[in-house]
Amino acid sequence: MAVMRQPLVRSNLTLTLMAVVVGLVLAWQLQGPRATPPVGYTPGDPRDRTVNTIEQLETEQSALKAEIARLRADLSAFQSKAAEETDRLRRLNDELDAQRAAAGLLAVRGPGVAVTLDDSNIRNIPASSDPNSFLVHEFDVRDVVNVLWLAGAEAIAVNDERIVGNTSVYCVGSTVMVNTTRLSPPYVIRAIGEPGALAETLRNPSYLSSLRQRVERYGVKFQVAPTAKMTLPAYIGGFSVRHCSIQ
Amino acid sequence: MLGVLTMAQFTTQQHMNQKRASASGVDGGLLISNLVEGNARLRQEVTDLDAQMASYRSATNQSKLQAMQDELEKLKAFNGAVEVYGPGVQVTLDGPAAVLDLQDLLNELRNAGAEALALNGQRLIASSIIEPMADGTIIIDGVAVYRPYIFAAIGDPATLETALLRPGGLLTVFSNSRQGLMVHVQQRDRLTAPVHSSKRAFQYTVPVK
Repeated sequence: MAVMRQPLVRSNLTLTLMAVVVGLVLAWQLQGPRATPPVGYTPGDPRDRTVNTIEQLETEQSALKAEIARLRADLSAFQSKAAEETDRLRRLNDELDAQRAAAGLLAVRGPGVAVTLDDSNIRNIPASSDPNSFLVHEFDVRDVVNVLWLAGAEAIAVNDERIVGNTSVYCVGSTVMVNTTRLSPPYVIRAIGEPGALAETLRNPSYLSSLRQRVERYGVKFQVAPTAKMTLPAYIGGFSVRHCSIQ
Repeated sequence: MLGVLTMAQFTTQQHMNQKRASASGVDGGLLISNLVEGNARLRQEVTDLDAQMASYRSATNQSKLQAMQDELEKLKAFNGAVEVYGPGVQVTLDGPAAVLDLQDLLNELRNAGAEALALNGQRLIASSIIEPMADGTIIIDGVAVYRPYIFAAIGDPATLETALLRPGGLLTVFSNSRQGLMVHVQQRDRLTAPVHSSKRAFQYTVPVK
């Protein structure tokens, strides 16, 4: 019997800190202007506040990402201009470009595969079945990413979030998070590389056994589409190496 | 056998209790704290980039050179292109660990905020591959590794330790429900993550500028 991994509650904060943060956010919400309650909800339903807070935070997240993208473009333009001034600066700029590409900070294009994972369409789940068997989990996404690296992928993105050195694919409750960004199904994992080799490895029965089992038994969706040309976005997020020193 | 059954029962119970896409208190709270923390990191990056831009403006060639060198070093540290050292946590995993366990633990360390990672003295980068051989030997980027599996995770030691040992986290699951699997976290003042001996170059990928 295949070992079914248990979906975990993954968060990188302590419960204490979480409680403090939630408390602060809720307190701040209570002081803030009253939003019009949506139809069907009792006024002051705590769920409204939670949903509002999540929406506000995600709006802020998008704005910050746009700001980072703009600053990185400005910086890169500035450096290219500086590179015209001396040979040494030009060589340094070339090296920076190479390291940026390796880090996932540049958008990239090339051939590859698009893998689509989605929950089963089956709606009448027998009482004897585990409803989770019909769903795509964060570990399925992670396992596909790992198999793609194994198959020789050169760059990977999940629903347009680039997989970089500090990326984790985890779940908060039942929500899949990549680069602290909330994703919703279907999960489309796109990888650049030799399409034939990538697709063949994904079909190899030695890998992804838990996923394959749920595809066959419960109708979970797992589709592989070789693609001649695709563009993956740049990673837009922070990367800290504050605690790292170079010898 | 009893252990297996108990665990299966426990797992099923966990599954049954889960609700998908609900904004229930616990899910919402966790999500909010994740978003708050993620946004704080994004703000830090904006601050760093602003500072970099400021140092470029009205800069001499010499200071431009310095600023570009600093950025290059940061990128090389992130990419595993140089050896780095720093404080962090050492996580030891021993017992019948499978490849998926090591992959999950690596993911957990990244999630906890590790800035640079090594496993049994080998640097781990974004595209690092942990795979099993037919005889059960585990191979990382082409090199065999053996028990015990010792991860070096550079970053803030207290933050890393707290995140890794939180209730409901992967390490708790390993200790509570995986018989024979031993996991131990230790704060360290100085850990080393060697250079990644990557010979992979882009063959199919073209950067878009």
